[in-house]
Amino acid sequence: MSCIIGKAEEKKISIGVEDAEDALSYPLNHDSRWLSEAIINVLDNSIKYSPKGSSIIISVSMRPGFVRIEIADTGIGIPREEYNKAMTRFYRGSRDEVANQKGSGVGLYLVSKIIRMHGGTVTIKPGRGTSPEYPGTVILMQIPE
Amino acid sequence: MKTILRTENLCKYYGSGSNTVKAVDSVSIEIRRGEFVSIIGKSGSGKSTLLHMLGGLDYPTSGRVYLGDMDIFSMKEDALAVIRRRKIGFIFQSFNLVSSLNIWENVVLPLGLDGRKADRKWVMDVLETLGIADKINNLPETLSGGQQQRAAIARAVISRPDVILADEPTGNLDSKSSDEVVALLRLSADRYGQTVVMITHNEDAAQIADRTMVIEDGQVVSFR
Repeated sequence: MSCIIGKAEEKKISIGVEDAEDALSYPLNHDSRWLSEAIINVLDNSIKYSPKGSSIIISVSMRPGFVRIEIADTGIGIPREEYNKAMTRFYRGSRDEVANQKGSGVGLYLVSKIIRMHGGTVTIKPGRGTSPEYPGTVILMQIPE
Repeated sequence: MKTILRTENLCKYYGSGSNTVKAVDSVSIEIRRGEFVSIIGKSGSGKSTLLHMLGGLDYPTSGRVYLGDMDIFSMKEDALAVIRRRKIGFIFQSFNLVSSLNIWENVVLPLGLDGRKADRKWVMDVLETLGIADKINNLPETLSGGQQQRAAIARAVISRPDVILADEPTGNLDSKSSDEVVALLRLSADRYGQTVVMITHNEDAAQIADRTMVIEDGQVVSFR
């Protein structure tokens, strides 16, 4: 996690955590090492593809039977037609902004595998960015209790 | 993986001549046991019509539907009704719970209709997985839409059907409840080894499937 924070600081990207109903202190049946890896992979992508000075928000909340973790950035976004492919192994997307960044295309694939291992799901949703250049991405992870 | 559900040149046409509407047009698909398949398409694309034929709720104009090795439309209506009750679980957009029965009674209803006794441990396991074990004495109207749909999922799972068919299960829900219901369908499918076919216009919901088919103008045009 300190490596991620370092990368964010280099680009002056702020990472905030919203914790509804004290969800972060809720006991969750999980493998902390692997779950951390999943969250780090999402954050790594968000930092990589977000502009300097932007922000990433991690929202954690409890829903009946699930912990809901949303990571929202205001980066370059993922085209809707690539949502299904974005979590496949080695998929890197078709755009220049992605090709110009270092990466092997396994980040989101690993996230998907880890969360599935926990019985949960990962969904890509449109971001909340306000500019066409930086529409953002929301990665939703739902993990059963 | 073995094929559990298969169609051969399935067609559903309405009208005749130049007024013919091809709601489903020569669809040949295979669903393997244990798969979670989503079928997406816009309103009017034919996905509900296709699902209703997969579940034996509507007769095709031509073509066949096989559940395992059984050609379901070659059966008499009584035999088909038994197959629907035992082998197919349904989840509808409007939940379709019986308003005068409590949640426990709604969930075990398919077993009762089949003359089977409910295994309490099994039923409670499913209800706990779906997060509504504390609602068994509630009437449906006292629950939120998301909770009612959880009960509908439990009812579909409880008789351990060969396949669960879900018709726009998130259509009447807000976005967070929709996210949960889809995740619960996935969890139930994985935990109980269920085969699920879910039709939806919601592309976000379709992401959690193993495979997605796109339907347009009654035809399956692509797979993802």
